[in-house]
Amino acid sequence: MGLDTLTFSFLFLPAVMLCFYACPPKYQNAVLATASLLFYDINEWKSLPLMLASLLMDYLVCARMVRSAGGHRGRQVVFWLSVVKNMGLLVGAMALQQLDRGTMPLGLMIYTMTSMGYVIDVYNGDEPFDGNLVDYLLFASFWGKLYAGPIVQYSEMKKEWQERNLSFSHLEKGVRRYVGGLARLVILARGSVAIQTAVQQIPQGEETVLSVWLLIISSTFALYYTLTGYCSMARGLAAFFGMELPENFHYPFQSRTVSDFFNRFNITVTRFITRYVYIFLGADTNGVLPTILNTLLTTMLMGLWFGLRLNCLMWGIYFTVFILLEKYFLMPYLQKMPPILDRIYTFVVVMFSFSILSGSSLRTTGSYLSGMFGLGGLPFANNRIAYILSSNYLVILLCFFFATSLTRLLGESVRKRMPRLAEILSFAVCLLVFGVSVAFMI
Amino acid sequence: MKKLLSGVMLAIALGTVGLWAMLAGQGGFPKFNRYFHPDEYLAEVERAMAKNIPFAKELEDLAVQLRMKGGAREFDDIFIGDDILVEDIGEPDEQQTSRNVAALMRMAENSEVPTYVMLLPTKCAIKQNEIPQAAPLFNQKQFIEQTYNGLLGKATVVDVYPALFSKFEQDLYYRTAPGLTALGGYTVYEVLAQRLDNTVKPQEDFEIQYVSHNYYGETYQRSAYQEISPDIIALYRYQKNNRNYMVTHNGDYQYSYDTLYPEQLLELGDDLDVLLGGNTGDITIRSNLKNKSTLLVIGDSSILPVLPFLAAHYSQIRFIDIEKLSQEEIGQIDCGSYQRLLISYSVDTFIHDSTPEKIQWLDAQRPQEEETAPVLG
Repeated sequence: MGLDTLTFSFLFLPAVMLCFYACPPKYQNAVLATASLLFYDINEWKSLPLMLASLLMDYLVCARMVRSAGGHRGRQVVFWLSVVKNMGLLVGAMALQQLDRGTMPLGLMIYTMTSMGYVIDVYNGDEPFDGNLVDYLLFASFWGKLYAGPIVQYSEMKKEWQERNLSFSHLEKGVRRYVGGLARLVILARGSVAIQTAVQQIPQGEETVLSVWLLIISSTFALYYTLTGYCSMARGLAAFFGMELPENFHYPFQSRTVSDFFNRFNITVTRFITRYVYIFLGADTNGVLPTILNTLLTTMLMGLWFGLRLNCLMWGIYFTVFILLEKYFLMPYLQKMPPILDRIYTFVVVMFSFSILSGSSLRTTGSYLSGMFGLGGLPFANNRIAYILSSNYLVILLCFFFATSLTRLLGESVRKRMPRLAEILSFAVCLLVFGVSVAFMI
Repeated sequence: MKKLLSGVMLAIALGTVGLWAMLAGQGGFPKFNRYFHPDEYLAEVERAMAKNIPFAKELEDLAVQLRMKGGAREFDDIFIGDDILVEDIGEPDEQQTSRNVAALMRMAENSEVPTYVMLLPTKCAIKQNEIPQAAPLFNQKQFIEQTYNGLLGKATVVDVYPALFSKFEQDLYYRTAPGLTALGGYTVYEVLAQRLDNTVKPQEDFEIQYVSHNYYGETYQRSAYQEISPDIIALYRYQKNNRNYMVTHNGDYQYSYDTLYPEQLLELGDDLDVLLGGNTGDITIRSNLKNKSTLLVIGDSSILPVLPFLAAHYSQIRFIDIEKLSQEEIGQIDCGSYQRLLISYSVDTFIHDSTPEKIQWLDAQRPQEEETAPVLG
C-alpha cells in the first residue's frame, strides 16, 4: 500500500483523517504517530522492529545526554554510540542492497538521517529534548516522508504542531501538492520508467545514438519525478494534518549554475549534509585546499544518497569539479551570460551527470558517453528507437514541460489578474488531474 | 469546528469512494485469510479497488485513450489496430527455440511415417498493416524459412505464410482472439491439402453458417483497449457426398459428438469450443469416407480451424496436443498406425513454449504393416 495506490488514497488516508479530526488537539499527534507505525507495519512489517529499535535507541540516547549534561564523558559515549549505530545502519543497508542480499527497508535513509540529525543537534545543544516519545516518533517516521523525504528538523516540526494550520487555504494548498505529486508519480515517473525499460530492452547491436540519449533522459526524469512526486505528496499529506514540510525540489533543471542546482535539488538532504559535514569541517574558511576537500566530501556524500556505488561517488566528484570551477573561475562569466545560455550550460552538465548515475559501472557510463556522441560507429537512429519515441512522445514532452516553472508562472499570472477565475480554474484542474491520476492507477 | 469542516468533507469524499468500492463492488471485497501473505492480501485489495471504484471502466478507458493520444498503440503486448487487436509475440526464447528445432529435426530424421511440418505464422506477421510502422516485430517469415531449410530432406514442409500474407486484408484471424477464423483455416487448408496430396475442395463446396455475431475472444479479455467490434464465428460445412462425422474426445472420460461443430457448446463456455468441442488434448475425427486414409496431427490449438476442412479427405484424423500429455502417454502414441504425420505449431508456441520439444518422446519408428489405401480427394 504505497502512497500511489487506490487503497491508500481511498481507505487509509480518509480513515486517518477522520480519526485525526475527531480527536482533541492534544491527541492528534498520537493518532498520526500510530497511523505512521500502522502504515509502516502494513508495508514493511518485517522491518518495523528495526525502525522502532533504532528510533527508541536514539530517543534514549537523547534522554541520557540531557540527564548527564554535566558528565561530559558519558554524553560523548552515548552520542558516538548512536552516530556509529546510525552510520552502520545506513552503510550496512546500502551495502546489502548493493550486494543483492536484500532490499533497502522502507524509509530507512529518511528516519535514520532525521533521527541522527536530531541526536547531533541535542548533543550540540541546538535542539531541545522535551522527552515526548510520541512527538519524536511522529517527527522521525511520519509516513508521508518515508519514501523520499523531506528531511526535517525537530524544532521545525514542533513549531508546526504548536501552530497547527487547519484552515481551508492550507488544506487547499495541501490538496494541490498531493494531487500534483500523485500525477508526477503515476503519470510522469511511471511513464519515464516505461521508456527507460523499453530502451534497456533493446537487444545488443541495435543501440543507436538516439537510444542512448533517450535512456539518459528517461532515467533522469524517472528519478526526478519519483522523488518530486513523493516529496510533493508528503508535503500535501502534512498539510492535511495542519503541518508544513519544507520544499525538497525547486525546479532544479532551471538552475543557472551547478552550485545553484544543489540549492534546488534534494534541498533538505543538501542542507543536512552541509549542516553536519561541510560546516562541521570548516566549510570554505580554511583556505583553498580544505575547501576543495570539504566540497568533495560533501558532494560525494550527496552522490552516496543514491546508493553505495562507485558511480554515485563519481557523480559527486563530477559535480565537485564544476562547483569549484564555478567558484574560482567561471562565476563572473556565468553572471554576465544571458539567462538562457547559463541555464543550457547547467542543464547539459546535469544531464551528463545522470549518465554517470544511471550506469551500473564506470564502464557502462563510458559506453553511454561514447554512444551519446556517436563514437563506436553507432547509427543515429533505427526503427526500434523511432517506435519507442513515437509511442511515448507526449510523456517526454510533458516531462520537459513540468520540469520548468511555466505552469506555476501561468497560474500566478492568472491569479494576479483574475483571482476568482483562478480559484475556479485551480479547483477544476486539480479535480481533472486527480481523476486522470486515478485512471492511471487502475 | 468550522475550521475542520473542509478537512472532514475531503476525508468523507475520499472515504465514500473507498467504501463504495468495498461494499457495492461486484464479487465482494477480499476477505482477510490467515493463509494469505499480507502483501498478497493488499495486492488483492488493490485489485478489488481498481475493479470496483466508481466509474472504474470509464477511468480505465480514459487512461487508455490518453496513452493513445500520447502515441501509444501497444498495451500489454497487444497492438491496437483498426478495429482489431493484434498480439505481439515478442522475441523468441533462443534456448527453448533451439531445443524445439533440435527435437523437430531428430523426430523428422528418425520418423518412418511420412512426416509433414507446418509452422503457422501468427496474426502480427500477417496483419502488418494493422501495426505501427516502426514497431519492431520478430521476423516470422525468416524464422519459418530458416527452420524449413534445416528440415530439407527430412520432412515435407508446408509453408502457408505466402498464402496467408497474400490475403492479409481479409478476415483470416479473429479480431479479438489470436486464432485463425474459418476463412483463415480454409486458406491454410488450401496449401496443406496440396502438400498432403489431396485435391483441394473449392470453397463453394462448403456451406457457411454464422453461429455467433457477438464473440469476444481471449485477447479482448486481457486488453486494456475495449473499443473493438465483436467477432463473427462462421462454420464451414462440407455439403457433398453425405459426409458424416464423429468427433471423439479421448480424455479420462471419453465422449463423442456426431458433428464437427457441437453447437450446444455455444451456450456453455467459450464460443470457439463449437469447433470440434474445443482442444481437450486428444481428439479423433472419424468420417464415413471409405478410403481408410488416416492422419495423425501433433500440434497446438492453432491447427484446430484447419481440421474440419482436412476431415473431408480422411476417414480418420487424430489430433494430439502433447502439452496435455505425460512422457509415458506420449510414448504410447502409435504413430506407425497412421499413414501420415503432421506436426503443426504456431510460431508463438514454437519460439516460447517447451511443448514442441516433447515430440522427441514420440515413437515414430514403426512402419505401418497393412497396405495403405490411396488417398482420395
